Order: sequence, then C-alpha cells, then structure tokens
Amino acid sequence: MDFVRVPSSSGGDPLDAFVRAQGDRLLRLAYGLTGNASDAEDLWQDTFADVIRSWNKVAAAGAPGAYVRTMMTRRHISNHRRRWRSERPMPNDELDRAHHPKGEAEAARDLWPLLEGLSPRTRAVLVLRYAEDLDDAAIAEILGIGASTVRSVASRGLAALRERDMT
Amino acid sequence: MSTDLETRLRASLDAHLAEPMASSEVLLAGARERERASTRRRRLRWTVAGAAAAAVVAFAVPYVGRGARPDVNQPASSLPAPTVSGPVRPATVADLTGAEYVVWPDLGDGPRPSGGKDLFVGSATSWTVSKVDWTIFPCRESVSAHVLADGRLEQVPTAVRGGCAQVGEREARIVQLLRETHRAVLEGTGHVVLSDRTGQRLAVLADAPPERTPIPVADGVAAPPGSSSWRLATARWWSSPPESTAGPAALSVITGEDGSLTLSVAGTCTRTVVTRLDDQGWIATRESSGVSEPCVEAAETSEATAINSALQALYGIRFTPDGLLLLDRRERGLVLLVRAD
Repeated sequence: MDFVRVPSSSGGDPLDAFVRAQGDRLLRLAYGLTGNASDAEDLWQDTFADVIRSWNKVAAAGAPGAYVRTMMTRRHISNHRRRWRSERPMPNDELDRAHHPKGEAEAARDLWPLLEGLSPRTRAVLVLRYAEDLDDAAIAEILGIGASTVRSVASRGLAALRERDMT
Repeated sequence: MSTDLETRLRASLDAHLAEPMASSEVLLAGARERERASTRRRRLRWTVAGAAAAAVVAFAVPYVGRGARPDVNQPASSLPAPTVSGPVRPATVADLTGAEYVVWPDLGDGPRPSGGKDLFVGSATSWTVSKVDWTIFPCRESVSAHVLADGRLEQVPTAVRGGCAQVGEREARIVQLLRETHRAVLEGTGHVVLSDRTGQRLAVLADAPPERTPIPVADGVAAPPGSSSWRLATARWWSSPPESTAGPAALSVITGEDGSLTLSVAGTCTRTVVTRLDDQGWIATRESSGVSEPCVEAAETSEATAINSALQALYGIRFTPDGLLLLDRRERGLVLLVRAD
C-alpha cells in the first residue's frame, strides 16, 4: 500500500478516496496500538475527526498516510497521558481463546495478550517496528524522540515480554 | 538477526491484525459526526462565554437603576414542560436498558397514540462504564451513548444505521435529539428527562405500553444439552412477521459442561454472549459480549438485527414448549425463537 501519495479520486471527495485507500491499514495500526477493536475504532475516528479539520494540511504533506500515522500514534500516547478515557473493555479471555485466529495450539505461542499492560509508548514502538516494519529512525520521527531512545524502549519492551512469557 | 521472541511477536501481530475489522468507510461517517460535534462544542463555548457576559450585564443593570431584573421564572425551554413530581435522580443504565419509550412532547407529526413507541434501549454490559444503544423505530437507526454515574451521556457515534431519512421527519428528529442530549435524569413519575449541555430540557421519555399482546412467559429454564440452532419466530416490537427467515439459522446456543450458555448470532454483525443462568432462568453472570462488526450493512437481515437488539437488552432466558424466549429486565419477552435443527 502506498503510504506516500494521496490517491486520485476521479472527481470524488479526496478524503473519501484517501480513506478507501489507506483507512483499513490505519485501522489495523490503531488495533495494534490499542489492543482491542472498540478502542481502535475510537482512536481511528478521533484521529480522522482531526484529519477532516486539517485536511488541506494533511493532503499537502509529502506523505499523507505517514502524516496521519504520526497523528494517530501521538494521539494514542497523549490520550493515555491525559487519562481522559473513562472506559475500558473487560478482559474477555474465554472469547479471545475461542476466536484465536490460528486455534489453541498457536494461542500458546501468541504474544499478543502479553502486550497488554505495556506502556502505550513501548507498545507503539513494538507495533511500529514489528507490524509496520519501520526502522528506528522512522519510529523516532513519529514519536518525536531520538533513535537511541527507540532502541532502548524496544529493548526494554522485548525484555518485559520475555519475562512475561516465561511466567 | 531476529530472535525467536521477535519472530513470534511478528507472527502474533500479523495474525491478530489480519482479523476482520469494521469498514473504514463506515467509521469515516462516525469521524465526520465527531468533527461536527466538536465544532458545535467550540461554538457553544463561545456562545456560553457571550451569554455569561450578557448575564453579568443584565444582573448589574438593575442595581444601577437602568432596567428590570430578568424573569427568573421564565421556562428555560420553549418546549411545553411536562408535570414534574417526586424526586429527581440521574438515570442509570439499568433505568434505561430494555425499555421502550415514547418521546414527548410532539416532535413533528403529532403525538403517538397509546401503544406506539419511538425508542428501544439496549445496553452493552461488557463495559466498565456501560453503553446504551438507542434504537429508533421504525427505521432502527441506532445512536449509542455511555451513561456516566451522574446521568451524563457521552455520545458514541461509531456507527449509524441508515434508513431514517426514508421513514420520516419524526425519526430523523429523534436521532438529532439524542445526539444533542447531554444528560438524562429519572423523575419520580418514572419519566426520563433528556437535557442538553446548557441544561435546557429537550424531551421527556415516557414508558411505552406494549403495542401487541405480550409474548407469554412459560416456566421452562433447562437448556438443551450440546448445541442447538434457533430461528426467529417473532419479536416484541414487530407487529408483522419478520422480513426474512432465509439463510442459516439465526442463533446458535451451546451449553457448556460448566453450565455456561454461549449464544451467537449469525450474520455480518456477529454478537456472542456467554452467560450463566440461575435456577430461575435469570442471568447470574454475563461473562462477555461483543459485536465483531457494526451492524450497518444493508444486507443484514432483520432477523439478525432483531436478535442482536434482544441480546443487548438480555436479562433472562426461558426454554419453553413454544421455543426459546429472551427476556428483558422487566420479564417481558423480547424475542421468541423456534428450533431450526
């Protein structure tokens, strides 16, 4: 998927065309960041409410998809800092097991549940690195931190996962 | 070189992020609604600031002998106010869930006759702060809100089911009214009063009497062992038979060895509820519920939509000679299902 270009809309609303082209990918990023579908939909919609307000700026960006990805990631982290959220989905172990995409055998090797409880920034670093395949410099730019900080956050995140995996 | 942990993490993320998700085009409608609501709030802040300044001037003027004090007894709303009696307290999710309401006062095409109803309220109980879904009749457009402890309602415009525009101005105005609603209180009379952010009364919800003969509640409770499939026979809020009974069975029920019941609605907006019943057939514990996708597709059968609505408001289950009955908190039948296997 091209994260750089605003897709041509053949006369339609360019925002609609942008969402058609990149909305699903950004929703998957939101899911990776939040860990559940409801929060992911909330994050996606809040981000796109901002995008609608500042569409001209987004469209003018060299890489609008990357621009929105940065908006979404930073919004997610700052939401947690402000602790504005007043709801949290209850744990749903039984359904999660039943709905594991690859069945029970794979569930034992699944690290997804262990991501729960990592700080939003640590989780964001791991998701951007291992799901979005971004290098540390790109992650640093998204988060507004240095590349060395990204490396140390990722290292601590992996160590935390390893520890949880063994217990 | 990747470690085994990194490889597993990559595989885990790939697997979970490949799961089916909501349509981003549907979510965009919600984002537009949030943006509009945000714009309204910004304008309101300016309006409130202006009104506050005007109020200061208005109160100051009499004291300098240049005018009259404002009439504080003037009703805040231009809507005809209903009679208020008894104590008032914030409405809770329990007050609202499973209820059917007539919106009062008149919103356009005349008051509903006795027996009509405008709203059905379901709830999603898997949230620490519960969410209610207002379903507007007869177009079944849905507006969601979180009900906070003080009665404030946080709108959740995640999905809007279409169709109201084709049904009538009244339904469209009820949708608008719910979107402007900021707070709900329960009056001693049993009426729920909705007000906006400025405290202005928008509407009163009165309990709707049953439109048709209530679905009889028999006394059977025991669930059949193993799995069973069920098809919708009738829904309380329908005065005519369901529009579609074609396709796969609408509801599957699985009785677990631990006594749990798993109810799953087939269709594009899959909802699953895992529950345990007490010996009277009421839900003792409700462990989970969720909708895999918003029920927005036009292709969604009315059968699946009706069962989904019933599961949202579910408080009790009865297995009767007539079929499977899902009950609301007032022990009224929501839907009756018959065996499909």
